[in-house]
Amino acid sequence: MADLKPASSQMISANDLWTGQVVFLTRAASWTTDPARAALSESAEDSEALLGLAAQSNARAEVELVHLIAASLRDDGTPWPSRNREDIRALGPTVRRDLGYQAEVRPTL
Amino acid sequence: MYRYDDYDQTLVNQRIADFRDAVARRLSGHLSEEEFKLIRQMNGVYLQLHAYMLRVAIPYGSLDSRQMHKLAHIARIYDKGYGHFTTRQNIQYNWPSLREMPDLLQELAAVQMHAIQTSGNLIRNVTADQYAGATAEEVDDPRPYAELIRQWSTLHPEFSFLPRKFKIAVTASATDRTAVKFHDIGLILHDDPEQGRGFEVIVGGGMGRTPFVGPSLRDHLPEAQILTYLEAVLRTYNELGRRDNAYKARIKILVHELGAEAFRTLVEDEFAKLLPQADDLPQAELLRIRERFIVPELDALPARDPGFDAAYEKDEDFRQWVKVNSAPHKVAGYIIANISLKPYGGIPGDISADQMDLVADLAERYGHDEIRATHAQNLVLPHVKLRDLYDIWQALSVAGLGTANLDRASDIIACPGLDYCVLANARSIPIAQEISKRFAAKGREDLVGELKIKISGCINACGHHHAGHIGILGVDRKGEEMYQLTLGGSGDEQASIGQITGRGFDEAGIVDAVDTVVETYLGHREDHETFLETYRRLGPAPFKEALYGTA
Amino acid sequence: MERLDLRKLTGAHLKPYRSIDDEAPLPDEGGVLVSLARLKRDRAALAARKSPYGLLVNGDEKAAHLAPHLEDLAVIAINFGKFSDGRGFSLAHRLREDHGFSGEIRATGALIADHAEFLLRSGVSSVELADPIITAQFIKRLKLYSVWYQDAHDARPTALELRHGRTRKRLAS
Repeated sequence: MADLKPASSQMISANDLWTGQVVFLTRAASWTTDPARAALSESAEDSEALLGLAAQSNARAEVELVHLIAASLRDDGTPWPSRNREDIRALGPTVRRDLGYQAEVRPTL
Repeated sequence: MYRYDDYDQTLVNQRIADFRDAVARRLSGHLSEEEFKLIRQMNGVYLQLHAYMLRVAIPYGSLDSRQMHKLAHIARIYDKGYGHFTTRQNIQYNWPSLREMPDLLQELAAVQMHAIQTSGNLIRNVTADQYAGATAEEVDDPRPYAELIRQWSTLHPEFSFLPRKFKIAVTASATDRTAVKFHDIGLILHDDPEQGRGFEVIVGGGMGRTPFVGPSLRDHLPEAQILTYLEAVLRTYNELGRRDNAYKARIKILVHELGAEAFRTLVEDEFAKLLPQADDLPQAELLRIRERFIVPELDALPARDPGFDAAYEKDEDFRQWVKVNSAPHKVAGYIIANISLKPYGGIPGDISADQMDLVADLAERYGHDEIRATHAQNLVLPHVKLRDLYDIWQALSVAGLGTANLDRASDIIACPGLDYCVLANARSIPIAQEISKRFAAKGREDLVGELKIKISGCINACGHHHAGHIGILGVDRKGEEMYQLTLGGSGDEQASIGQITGRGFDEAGIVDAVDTVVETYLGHREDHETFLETYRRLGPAPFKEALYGTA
Repeated sequence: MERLDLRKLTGAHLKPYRSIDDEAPLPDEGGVLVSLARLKRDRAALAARKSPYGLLVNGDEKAAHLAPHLEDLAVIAINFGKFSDGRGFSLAHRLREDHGFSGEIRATGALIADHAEFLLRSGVSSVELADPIITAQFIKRLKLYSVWYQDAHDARPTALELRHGRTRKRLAS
């Protein structure tokens, strides 16, 4: 997994330390399991700042594997990961549509 | 089955207490993410794409019904109702939370199981022939040696922070079912008429980015010296193995860069120094381990069973399954039954909790309480009576476990790939499913015969694609999943590495390409040649031409 | 080898040694650790002092390079550069086993509590840790385990010895 450099149109993702669940950083510096509610960065500096917030959360031992992901706005105006691997991360295994986050209602943490 | 004594049990319990403490230290911030990663991996816990993954060790692939029931229970309570048998005879769970992990491990410990050293840069779970103790081919049961090595390698003071992971396989049969020459150390047990019992020692085989069929360092190592020799190899590797680049850190690279002869000299010098001081305790321990192995008391039975013969005669599907999925047992009236975890279009190696319970029940009722996991992601009932086989097959069939495809085209090895794995570049499972569906038509696999297709979702090669008769490697090309095709690999006693055919294919294209390769084989084969024999006779040319046209 | 006293193994009970750069002057008093190069250069000056001295080496140092100097040394400190780098364990083992070094072997550097058993059983006899919390965790870890499979460099009996009612040659001699 090659690390992305900060740029515009990115999200911060990680895994919840306690549960392992895939989470995304919001503008309010909280984590959500729903990428549509995540912060979409407007610039490299913005991504940098969000990454800083995520690093603090990592230092508080709340999340692991903090990383930047490419994202874009969908037709409904909400953001979503644009790469295949992150789409699979957000939803669950493509071979088990009955499982994974795709099969669940998403609460905000 | 080896039964723990109090020492074995105590160590497993103490390791869980230690892990529980490490989790608490990570939560309180006393361990960094990087430090905790190292520790959780030593205890079998990964963080994958969607969640934590726990890989449970099944030492040398042996388990009993109580353990299999426990695995089912864990799938239900701590996971989402299923597990996945791996290419190293282990089982992994894809969804447990870290919160519950110590309790999960405690449940495993209650049935003498653990997840120690199923990940990390140390000596991993030792694998062995799945037909051990059941096949007439073997010199002796290799599992007591594997258990001796398991204990020696568990929390080894000196060799727990190696440059990279380290995999050991043990076999005692002429037919190799362990891919012994693709391991960091492969041990082949033999009885030499002059030198007595010992091992041929293969060192530095492996797959990954740079595949090697391992060279033989020793034609004959007396069995009593095995741990001393392992110590010499591991010390040499720990000191000299590369730590600057993870892709060059396996022992195969060290052996290759030094040359097998120079590496052998280093090991033999160290070995010669150790040998005079070597203790004879491991020999005594081997005897004790043998005594603690539960050896099934097999009945004296006639070689033929009229009930079996009648069912074989009348039920065509049963007959097909027996032909494809069974192997001869060393004792008359018994047979080895392979349970395929590769239903047509299914996910290779996946098994539901209910299926686990069924296998456990069948093993308890008909199979002297023994089950084996194979590196090809299937299960085995190693000791069943011919007269029970029809009942067993019927029960398996009802549960979706009766597919007759052992070592056939649809018996595909596939790593979890991008559907689960954080390292993967492309998905493996959907490719396996599509190829498998192509061979579901009745009779097609029969026509093709033995064919081993192996799929990896990245260059780490957990799907053993280098050793596939047909190998498929998933790569990422600018965000698109692409697949390279290799032909002519083999993981058996005549091990070979597959050769890349040419440019890669997309998801649909790779499935068609496999079809093309198989049709080309059928068009060229002579007499009863297998795919591999035809490929070895003709080389890649006709296959390349069929795939890419004349250039 | 004596039974290890956990209280003396690490923390405040460690004998203090100052690590001296190659170009820095030797202090008049107190235990010092120097590099192998400095030891070769200033052996006489080191011996003339009244305080003990030892070597500070990295985990990838070859035991054979240290062998000619072992008799003079009170301590060999092995620096673990990364917590995942296990070469220091083999170095400690070799110093004890191949070269019969009976002085103090001290582990320093990127160490965490989880290294405890591995260090002790590879022949390390003292450990310098970053802070009192890690020290407490380290000691706790040593008390946690009571079973070991491998013949190792501490006096505690292994599972194999207990099972077979045997004492190691090394300890018996």
